[in-house]
Amino acid sequence: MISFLLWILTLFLLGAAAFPVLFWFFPHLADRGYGVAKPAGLLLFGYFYWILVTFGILPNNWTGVAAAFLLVLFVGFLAIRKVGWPVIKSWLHENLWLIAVVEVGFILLFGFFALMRAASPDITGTEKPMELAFINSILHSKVFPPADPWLSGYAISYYYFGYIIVAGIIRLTGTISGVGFNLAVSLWFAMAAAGSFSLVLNILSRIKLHNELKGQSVSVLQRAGWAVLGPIMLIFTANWEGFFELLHSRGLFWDASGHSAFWSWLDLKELTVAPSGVPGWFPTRPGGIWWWRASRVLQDYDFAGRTGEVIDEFPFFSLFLADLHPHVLSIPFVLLACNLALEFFIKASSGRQFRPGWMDVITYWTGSSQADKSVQNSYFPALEFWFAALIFGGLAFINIWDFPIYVGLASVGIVLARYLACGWNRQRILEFFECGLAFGFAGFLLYLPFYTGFASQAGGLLPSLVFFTRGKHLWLMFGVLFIPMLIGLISVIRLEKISLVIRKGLGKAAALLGILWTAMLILGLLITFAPALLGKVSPSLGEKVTLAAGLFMNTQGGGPAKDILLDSTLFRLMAPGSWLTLLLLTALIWGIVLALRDRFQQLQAATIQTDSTAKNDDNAVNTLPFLLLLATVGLGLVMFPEFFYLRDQFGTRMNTIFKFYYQAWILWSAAASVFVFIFWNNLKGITGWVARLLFILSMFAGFLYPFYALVDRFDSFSLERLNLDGSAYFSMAYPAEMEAVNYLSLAPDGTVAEAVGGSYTGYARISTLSGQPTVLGWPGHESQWRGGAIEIGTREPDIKTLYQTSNWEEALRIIQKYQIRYIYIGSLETNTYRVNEEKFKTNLSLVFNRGSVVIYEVPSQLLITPKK
Amino acid sequence: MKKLFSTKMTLGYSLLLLLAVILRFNQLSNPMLGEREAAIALQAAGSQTGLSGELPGTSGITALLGLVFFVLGKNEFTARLLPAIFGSLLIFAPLLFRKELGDKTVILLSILFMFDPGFVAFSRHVDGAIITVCGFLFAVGFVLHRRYGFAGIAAGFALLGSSVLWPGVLASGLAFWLTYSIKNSRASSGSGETVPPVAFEKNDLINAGLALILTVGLVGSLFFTRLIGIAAPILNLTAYFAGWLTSTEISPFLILFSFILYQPFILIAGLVEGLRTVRSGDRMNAFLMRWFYLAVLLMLIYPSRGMDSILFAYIPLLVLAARCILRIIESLEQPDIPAWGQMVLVILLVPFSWMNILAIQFPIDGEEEPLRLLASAGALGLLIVASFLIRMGWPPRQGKTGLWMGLAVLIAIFTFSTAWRSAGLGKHPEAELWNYDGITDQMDLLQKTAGDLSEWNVSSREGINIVLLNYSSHALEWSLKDFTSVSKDSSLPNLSNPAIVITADEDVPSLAQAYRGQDFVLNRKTSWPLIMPEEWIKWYAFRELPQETHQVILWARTDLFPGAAKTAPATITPIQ
Repeated sequence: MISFLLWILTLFLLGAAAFPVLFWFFPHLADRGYGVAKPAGLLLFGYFYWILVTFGILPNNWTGVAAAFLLVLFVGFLAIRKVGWPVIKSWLHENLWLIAVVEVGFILLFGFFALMRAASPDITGTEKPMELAFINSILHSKVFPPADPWLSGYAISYYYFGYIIVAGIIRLTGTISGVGFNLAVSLWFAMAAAGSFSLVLNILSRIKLHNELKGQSVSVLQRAGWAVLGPIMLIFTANWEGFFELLHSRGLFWDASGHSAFWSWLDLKELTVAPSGVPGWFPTRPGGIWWWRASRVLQDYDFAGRTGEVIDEFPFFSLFLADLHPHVLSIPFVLLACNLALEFFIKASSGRQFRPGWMDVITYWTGSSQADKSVQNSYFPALEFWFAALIFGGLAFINIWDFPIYVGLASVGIVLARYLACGWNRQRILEFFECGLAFGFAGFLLYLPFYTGFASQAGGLLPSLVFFTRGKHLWLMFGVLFIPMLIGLISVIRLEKISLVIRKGLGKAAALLGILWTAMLILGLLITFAPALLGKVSPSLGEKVTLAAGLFMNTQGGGPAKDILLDSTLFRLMAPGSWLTLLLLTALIWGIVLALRDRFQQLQAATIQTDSTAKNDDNAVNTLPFLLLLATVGLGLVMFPEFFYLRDQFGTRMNTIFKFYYQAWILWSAAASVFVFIFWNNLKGITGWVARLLFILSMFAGFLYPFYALVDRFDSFSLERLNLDGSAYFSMAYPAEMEAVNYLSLAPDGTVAEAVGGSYTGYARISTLSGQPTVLGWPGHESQWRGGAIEIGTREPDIKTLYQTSNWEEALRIIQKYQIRYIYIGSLETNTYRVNEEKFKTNLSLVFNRGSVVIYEVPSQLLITPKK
Repeated sequence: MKKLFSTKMTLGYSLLLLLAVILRFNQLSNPMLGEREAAIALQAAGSQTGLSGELPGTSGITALLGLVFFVLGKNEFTARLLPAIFGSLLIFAPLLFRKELGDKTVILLSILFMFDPGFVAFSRHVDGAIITVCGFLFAVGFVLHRRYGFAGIAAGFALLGSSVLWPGVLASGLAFWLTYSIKNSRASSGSGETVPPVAFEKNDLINAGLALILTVGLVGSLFFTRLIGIAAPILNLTAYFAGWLTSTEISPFLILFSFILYQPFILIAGLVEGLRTVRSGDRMNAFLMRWFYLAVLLMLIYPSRGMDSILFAYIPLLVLAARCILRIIESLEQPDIPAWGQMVLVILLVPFSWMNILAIQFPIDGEEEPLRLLASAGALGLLIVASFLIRMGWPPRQGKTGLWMGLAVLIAIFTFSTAWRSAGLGKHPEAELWNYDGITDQMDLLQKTAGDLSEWNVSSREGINIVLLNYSSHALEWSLKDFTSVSKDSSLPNLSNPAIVITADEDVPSLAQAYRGQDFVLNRKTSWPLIMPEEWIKWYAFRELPQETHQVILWARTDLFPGAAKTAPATITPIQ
């Protein structure tokens, strides 16, 4: 409880310190960034903590973390002086209701999720051990970059900024890491809700609807009420898989012989098998893990008909699973970046403070043009620019996939605003690159120490020839968001203009789709013919490329390349649901933008006349185009993996789908919330009622999964068993081992030797819990992080030899090779290897002995390698 | 051109400086560094690997010490050099407040600073507290003289020195604000003149800020070779905050009691002067009293208090005492024969009486207590009678003058004696509260022993292989800093035979070969929490109290001694 309260206090203070900064930089947002103040405070805190420890200016202990915290408070103080306390105070006074909603909502959601975690706190299964290992390693490391807990002698090679932030809060509040892990999951849940509320409110506050021009209006408070849909759609709604679990549990659509055309057509694994037992209202599965399937609704088939796993998580699933993975850790910061992009959009609409201006500087200094003072008011103020770079760069460091997406969102948002204000010309392209490159480079620069040690597994772009999403699966995954978006898009324009819009947009949308499709085929062709072409130039290179091309073709299912290329088109034509849906959405959005471009300008002019006498007054900016932009970027994220995917160790588009769909959900949930507001307030009569009914039914289907998950979680709820400590299960199950872990966590730093095994298992538990690095943890993950197994080398067989050999000299060589300080022998070691303990007893000192657990320490004298 | 100081003043301060240097530099190398001192010195010497292994709140002093070590080498003298220098310079700080306090008060204050036991003690510790106090006073003084560059530099040193700055700034700042706001609120209600706020121009702030940043940035970071020093000010602040979450065993009442033990007359004079404030409404005194109370209060409630926690409380107390002493001096008249006679009586009879009281407390065998009581009471009685007679026969003010002159001499002797002992120059330095954690005792002997063994076997006094087995002590590590082959281990490989093994007193290592052991006292410490009330008198008189010692044992391989057959190398080798 004390930890919980300390976390609330700490986050409140960080948010309070960061709010003046956001107040300064977000003058056009309705909430002035209040809803994302906590993530902003955490970002500043994490940045100061990380960068100053990295450069050795702060120590990685409590005083260092507290110093970083004080620096954030100091920054807040400076921001207050800049803006003026009376201004902020006046705003706070006028918006007390907003503060109350955000803070009360935050505390309630934080508490609710903490309760949920306390009901099932174990940090075990999936990748939770990995995340805890990172956190403990960061807490244990004396310097940054922190040691890789699962590959001794190396630093973490992963985007670990999110773990830095979590570890910083854990250290600052004096929480133990097992509790801190669960509090962090709960905190991120609450921050995601607050951030989504903030984004939707800020968009809604400036949405101008047709009926508003006729004098009807929706008050700010009412809009805030609608903004609650944002967090609901983001973190309380799931895909429709829960609904189909219900149908499956009820035993519907099965014939007497246990076959079902419906379920076979739907093709959801596990649901293609008839349910056993009496039909019920709750999903069941042997083993009890029915809820996993919602994150695997998509099915990819290769050319040979084999299925491949595709991950399609969504926020509720991730948070329910309680994996503190980068895509989860980035959610609040993504929402902060979206608010930033919205602010840029509004500024760019008015023509003020929307450009980095570096291109002008270069052209000026190269003598190409005279300095034009009149354009200088279009430049970002320096501090604001660097703050934006801090946010974008932070996204890269938390979840690197997000970096180009949100830099792109911001840059395209600026270009869109300029396009609507000034029309299309070459300048728009320059503005896009100017912004994108500036934010990209500046974000990279601010986090440079991270990149110097980072190795990625990503290696290029591949065409997704055979893999594509079936329409049924796309709708199953995103239907809950498609329904409000489609209805909302239709309601934006008068019904009689739909056909006109679609005609305008369809051509462009089809062209875009065609270009992507063609590009995919061309890339496929290149891969097919490149080996032969390159072989003529350089046989060795040709050989390598042939091998790579062969591997690629195997992942597609093998077979002649010609057939793969042909069939990739045929299969898509035979299963058009997905691309037709995307085509329709693209056509609608594009058509709206084209058809209403004049309308937008009329709207701008009308609202300017209504609201203000100033030309280009940014108070009159309509955020409807930004809404369409959110929907478009989401569309792009879903469309891209239909044709391409990023090459990684998995060899398929699994990871690309995972990362892109996740971001699409975040963007579409916000967009869908606003669209609900639009159509609910715009559509009248029968149309309106049908639309509302459809939406409600869709939401019902989307709520079922969270409902079942919560029922499942609280099924065996008991107040006495509540415990936030995620490592308590380990203490209870293996008390001697936990004592050993506690011993090692306080012992002098040194590499631990423990048994090596596969991923998602109990191996590497000692390093995970103690924070001391081990020789090798999960080999599969290490290989992914480092893009290969070169660094891993022969560690796994060496550890086996270390435990099993009876030859002390051989063991000593391994000890000296990896500078092992502690040799751990517990139940897992004795079960995995034929441990020969005699050599350790004879030559090393026993420093820990409880039950079946022993630890031998290697004296420092033995770690000195003899000179040859 | 008008001289800043008169010739007399210059000579006087030169003498003061000489005395200050004598007190602070005399035998500065003794004793060897204690645990905390050695920890800081090891950090500065670069022996502490890893930034988070640093003691909280020591980044600044480590940087300053690192600079000294770089230039002058690493030893006890150089480790304590900076505090001694700043402690000596402290006597000049009052000169910056001549306008506010007056020349005579300033001179008295300088004398009091010179002899203050706390200031003297911390001028001889490897600690940044005295640097902080000195820097703080000089910074404030320079601001009053509008020398903002110097103020920035002084503030930089204050920020780097120690975390005691923050409670000091809090107490003094709060006292200043209370005094100023109360004064002004009274003024606005018509009861007095308004205190004009201190005004700064932007350039002044920039100058001060730049000087501060340069000092902290350059000096604190050791010219960018030790970047953690840049964050020293904020780390000192967070170390202060961290101190609210942990606690020490030093009782707050013991620290309060130290005023009576070391500064009884200063305390009385200061409190008397403070009480005058109630009647006179003297703004300066009000500010000083408030500062004193707040500093003491902060010390009392701070869980991680140390003896340095009251250093900032000494400043207002000494100023008040100086003002009180000056008032007393100014109330006296030119001494004549009666005054001199009175003075002699006081000088003779008061110590006589005191020594008889001591003899009662600590009787010699065969002596009778009533006689001692009679002697003590008789002496005091004689003094009273004589004083009465002098008052009757001569002008009463002569008697008063003589009495105060006599007391002044005795107080001066007491103060000098206290300062001497606080400097660690007395017979029992471990019995001084300033050395609460004790002093290092026989490490020089251990050093010599190991050096001799090394010289006999490897022809160098530092080359022998030494293993600290399962024992961690900064003082021990410091004493062995010059040895090139020292390692720490919690265990030894079987069949290993290092030349020298050092263990805790109670550990007997199981070693493959024959070893000879010799114990050395590492630390001698007074058992402060166990002292009974009556033992304080003995402490007051003789500085004798029950002690506890921590010992280590140096195990030397038998073959290292002259005449024994060599069985293994004496330098470190890989285990065969």
